[in-house]
Amino acid sequence: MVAPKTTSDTVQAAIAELLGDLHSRSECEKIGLSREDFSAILGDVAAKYLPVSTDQDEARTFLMSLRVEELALARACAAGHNLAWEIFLTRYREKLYQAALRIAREDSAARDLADSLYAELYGTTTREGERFSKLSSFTGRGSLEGWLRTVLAQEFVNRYRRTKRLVSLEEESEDGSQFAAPEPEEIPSPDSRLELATDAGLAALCNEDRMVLASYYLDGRTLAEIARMLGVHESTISRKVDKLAKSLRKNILGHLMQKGMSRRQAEESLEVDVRDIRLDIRRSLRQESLSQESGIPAFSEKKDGKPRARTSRQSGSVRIGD
Amino acid sequence: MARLDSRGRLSQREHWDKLRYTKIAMDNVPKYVVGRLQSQELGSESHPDADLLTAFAERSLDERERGGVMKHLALCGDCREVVALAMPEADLQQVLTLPRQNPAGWFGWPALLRWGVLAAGMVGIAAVGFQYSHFRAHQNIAASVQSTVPAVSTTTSGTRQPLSDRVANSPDEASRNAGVLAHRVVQEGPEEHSRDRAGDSSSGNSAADNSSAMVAMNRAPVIGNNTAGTEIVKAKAPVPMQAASGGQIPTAPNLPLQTSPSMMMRASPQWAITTTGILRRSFDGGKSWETISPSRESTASEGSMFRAVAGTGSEVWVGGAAGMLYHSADSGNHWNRVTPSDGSVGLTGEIVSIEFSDPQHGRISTSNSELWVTSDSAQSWQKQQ
Repeated sequence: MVAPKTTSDTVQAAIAELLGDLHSRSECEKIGLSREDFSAILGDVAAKYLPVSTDQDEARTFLMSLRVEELALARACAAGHNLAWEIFLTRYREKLYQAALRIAREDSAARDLADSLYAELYGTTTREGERFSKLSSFTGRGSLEGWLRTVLAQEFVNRYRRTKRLVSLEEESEDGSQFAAPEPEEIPSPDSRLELATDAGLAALCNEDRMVLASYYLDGRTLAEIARMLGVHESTISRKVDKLAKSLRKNILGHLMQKGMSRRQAEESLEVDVRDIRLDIRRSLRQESLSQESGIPAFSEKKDGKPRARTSRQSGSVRIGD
Repeated sequence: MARLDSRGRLSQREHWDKLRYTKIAMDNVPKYVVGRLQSQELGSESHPDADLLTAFAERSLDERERGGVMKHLALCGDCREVVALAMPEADLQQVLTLPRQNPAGWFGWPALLRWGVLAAGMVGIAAVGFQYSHFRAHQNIAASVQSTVPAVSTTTSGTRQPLSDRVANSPDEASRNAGVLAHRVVQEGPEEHSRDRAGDSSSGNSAADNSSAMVAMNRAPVIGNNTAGTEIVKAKAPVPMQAASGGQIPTAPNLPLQTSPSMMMRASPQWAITTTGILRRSFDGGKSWETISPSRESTASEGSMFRAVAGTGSEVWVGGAAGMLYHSADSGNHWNRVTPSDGSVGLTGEIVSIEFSDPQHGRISTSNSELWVTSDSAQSWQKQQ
């Protein structure tokens, strides 16, 4: 657990300046939060996100961007105020189940997902002897509804990871570590120059371009999905993906040629699929062991489906049968 | 836009889109590069919290924070997955295909039947036009003698006039009206603009008036506001026909048809509210959206506080924070602010749900558990807590 940060004087001054307005907007008195409670909540949120060097204008802008009404509602729920819970359930109960259904895509799994989140929101766990509600970590940076969907999605990915026996995310807390992705597999490179050139090409991408590429090529997202994630039109992403694919290829080829490859060599090296090589090695090794046990020669599949014999020397270096 | 079926699965179209895009992906970038991209994904480390990811998706972060989250997303498949899964349903299930008041009407018919009737109507137009031209050839002399003919089309108040009743009484009149009436057969699907309702009941209508009335009928249909038996097309005063004053009777093939698919779509907007509370409208089945601001004075802050939208046909209601409620009777082109009140008590809570079964009967729920009901097109409201 990270020790709570404290706010600077400038941030405190901004809170004091805007408290009246934000307090009236939040309508927190109606749901059981006092002005002092609300001020303390604003201080917590500001301390979490604003660096110490923040000036008063920045602090003011930050505070005005908060969804104070939803922030007050979430914190009032976390504090156990019944009226706040009634409002919360009226507004979000059905939406939460709908969001869970869209994420889980199966009714019983969706209900299970939503119910487990409800338990966390209500606060069935205790911290330092006190009931802890997950709603107390909501900070009003985005909408409460969006936050609920995000928490549901995190829980879903968490469960998926657990099911896959990759890693448990339970030990991670709201302090920032929800996931622990598996260690990336090391892909052998057929040529160190290709690896260097590819890394250089990828490193030259800006974060958004790389995010688009990864979403499209690794995650298999559609152009429409990526567009929605970034809030742009689908055609913008379509053009961007096309442009990125071309420029990345051109960039890598340029690096390879700088390192002494001819254009043809560079293009051929790019087309090598090391995953296929590795797969073939595995298959070959397995078949070799089988053949050694049974005394029959190893076979690999040709494209036409007809098996052909190959030697162990062939199978260890290049893909056979393509 | 991803469309999910009732079990939350991707629609067939979306499924094929995904396959197509995956195919493109595999074709365009060398697998080795994709492999390196994957190998450089982040391992175990801190991730942005749910608040930041939500604010990122809702585009409410400043440049510095957005850049930080973007940097993380560029390298973290888990967080990309979370953002994608948590995308608002505003573009998915919050898209409202507005319930229609009269589902048994034209647009309630199956598409095949609808277009079949249209095709039959067009054949009918051609046939009547052919008959009419023959008839005119035999009536040239008689037609030249007539100066005016009262073309009165009377109706029984409150009921849709049967087609046979709309045919003028005299054979001559019938012949002159043939083209027009045949056209009306096509026009009279579910939608027909009532001249009475438009206040066009004055006497002395000229041929131009009559023509404009027909043009009005050729406009895009208004969905859902008509109920069989309530729409009337009539002219209370005698209307001199164009033929009688020497003009040309427009024949059916020269008249524009109202039932083009684009016009149908135009008349049936879809509504959505984004998670940031912005009202959006689509006339093309959700392919493109435009932001609608019901209030002229609405600012970005006010325009981002809507919570619920509902409508029947061209009638649309949208509500949000602090009892803010707007109504439009023309698919969102013009809006009026509505302030429900019951005696001295007004609706001031946040509107979280709006339901209108028809333009007269509606229910509004608020965040403070109030229920407001109207049964007279919002002329009066009853608070039911």
